[in-house]
Amino acid sequence: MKWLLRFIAGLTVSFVVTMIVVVTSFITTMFSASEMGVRKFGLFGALFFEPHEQADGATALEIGVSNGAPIAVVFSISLVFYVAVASVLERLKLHKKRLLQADKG
Amino acid sequence: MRPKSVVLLFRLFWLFIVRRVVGRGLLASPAARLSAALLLVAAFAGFNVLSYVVIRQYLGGTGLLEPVLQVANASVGFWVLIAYTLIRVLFMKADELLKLSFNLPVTNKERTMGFALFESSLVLLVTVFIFGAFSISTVLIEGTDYIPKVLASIWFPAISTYLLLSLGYYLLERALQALRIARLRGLVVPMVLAIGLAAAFPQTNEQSSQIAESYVSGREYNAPVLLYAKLLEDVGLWFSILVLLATSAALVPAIVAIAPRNYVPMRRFFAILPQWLAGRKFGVYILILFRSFETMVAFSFILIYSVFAWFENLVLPPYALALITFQGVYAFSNSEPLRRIATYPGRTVANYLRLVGSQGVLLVVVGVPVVGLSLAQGVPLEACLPVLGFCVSNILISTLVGIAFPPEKGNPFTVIIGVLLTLILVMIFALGLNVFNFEPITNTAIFTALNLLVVFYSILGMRRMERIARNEVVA
Repeated sequence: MKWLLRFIAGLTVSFVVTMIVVVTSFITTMFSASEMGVRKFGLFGALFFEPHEQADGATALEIGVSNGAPIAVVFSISLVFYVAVASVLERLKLHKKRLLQADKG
Repeated sequence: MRPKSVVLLFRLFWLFIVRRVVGRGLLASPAARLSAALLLVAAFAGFNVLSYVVIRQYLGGTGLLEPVLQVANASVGFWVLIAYTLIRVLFMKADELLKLSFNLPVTNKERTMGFALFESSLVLLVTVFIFGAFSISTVLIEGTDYIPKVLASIWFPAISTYLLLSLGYYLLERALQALRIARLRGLVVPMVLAIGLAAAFPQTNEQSSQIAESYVSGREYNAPVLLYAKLLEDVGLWFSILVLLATSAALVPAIVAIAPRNYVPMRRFFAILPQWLAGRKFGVYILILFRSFETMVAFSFILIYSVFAWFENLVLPPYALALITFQGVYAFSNSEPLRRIATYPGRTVANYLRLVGSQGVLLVVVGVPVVGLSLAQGVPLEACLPVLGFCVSNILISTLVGIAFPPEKGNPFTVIIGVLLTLILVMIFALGLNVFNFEPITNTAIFTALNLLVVFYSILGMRRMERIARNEVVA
C-alpha cells in the first residue's frame, strides 16, 4: 500500500512538472514566432506553433505536438527524480529514528 | 487616537497572519513552504515576462501605448473595487483576529484604524499583483520618462479610489449602526459591493470604448477619472502629486472621523432551513453548508449578477454559478466539530460523500433557477452543460483545497494561498491540455481521471487528519 501511494504521488508530481515544462516551452515558442506561415518548434522539437493568414485576412493559429518523445523523457526524468528523492528521504528518516533510539538506549 | 497604537496593532495583525499561515496544513512542512513560495514568485515573474513580451510585440513603437495607458487609467477604479471587495469579504469574519487586540489597552477607534491600515496593505498587495506587471513592462519599453505617466495614470487614481471606497464603507457601517442592523453587515456589505461592481463594469467598458473612439478620430477625451494624468500633462508631476496629497489629506481625517467608535460583532449564521433535517447525518451537513455566512455572500453575488445580466441583456452561460462551488474551501473545516464530537464519526469515505453531496444539493438549488434564466435569455443548453461540469469539478477541487489548507476562523489568508495555488495549477493544466490538441472525448477522460485523483487525495487527507485528531485525544 505504501509503495502504491508513493507511486501515485510520483505520477502526480511528474504530471504537474511535465505540464509546467510544456506550458513554459509553449509560451516561449509562441512569442518567438512572429512571421506568418513559419512553423516554430519548442521543447527539443516536441511542440510547434504556426501563425498563418486566412482568406478573410484574419490570423489563425496552429498549435500542437509534433513529437511526443521529449515530453515522455521529461515525464520519466521527473518520475525517476521523485522516486530517488523520496527513497533518500525515507532512508534518512529511518537513520534518524535509529540514532534517536540508540541515544535513548 | 494614538498613532503609535495603530501601528502596533497593524504589526500585530501581520505577525499573526504570517505565523499562522506558515504553520498549518500542507504548509507546515518546510519543503512545501519553499515550493509554494517558489511557485508564487515564479508565477509573478512569469506574469511580468509575459506582459513585457506581449506589450513589446504588439504595442512597442506603435504609439498605441498612450491610449492603452488611458484605458488602463479608466479601469483602475474597477480593479481597485475588485481588490477591495475580495479583501473586505474575506476579512468580514475576521473577528478572531480582532479579538487578539481585546487584551491590549487600545480604544475601539484605534482597533478599527489598525485593522484599516492592515487591510489597506493587503489591497495594495493585490493591486501590485494586478497592475505591477503592466507598470513595469511599460517603463521597461518606453524608458524612465514614462514613470510619471504610469504614476499619474495608475497609482495615484488607485490610492484615491481606495481612500474613497474606505470612506464609503465606514459611512455604510455608520448607517447600519444607526438603523440597528450592524450585525447583518456580513450580508449587506457584500451586496452593496456587488451592486457597485455591477454598476462600475458597464461604465468602465463605455469609457474604454470612448477613449478608443477619441483616439481614432483625433479628439481629446476628458473625464474625472483621468484627472491626475490631465494635471501631469497640463501642469506637471509636482502639481499632480500636490493634488493627490491634498485629496488624501482631506479623505484620511474624514475616514478617521467617520470610523465607528463601537464594535458590533457580525452575525455569522442564517437559519433558513427547517431543523428537522438534523435528524440525519447528511441533513446536518446540508444545514451547516446552507446556514454559513459564505454561502449567503456567494448567493447574494449570484443573485445580483443574474438580475444585472437579465436587465443588461448579457447572453452568457451561467459562469456566475462557479462562485457557489468555492464553498468547498470551507466545507471540511466548518463541519470538523461535527466529526470531533461524535463517539463514532463514521467512515471517511461516507463523510467525504456527505461533504461533497451537500455541496451538490446547494449547486442544484442555486443552479436550477440560474440555468433556467440563462435558457430563457436564449443561451443553448449545450453551452450551459460545460459550465455545470466545471462547477462539479470545482466542488471536488475546492474541497481538496479546504482539506490541504484548512482555513481557520479569523484567518482568511489561508484561503487566499490555497485558492491561488490551485488556480495556478488548474490554469497550467488547462493550457497544457490545450497544447496537446486531444479529441474532446480524450480531454473528458483526462479531466475525469484528474478529478478521481482529487477525490483520492481528499479521502487520504481526511483519513490522515482523523488519525492525527485521534492521537491528539489519546495524548
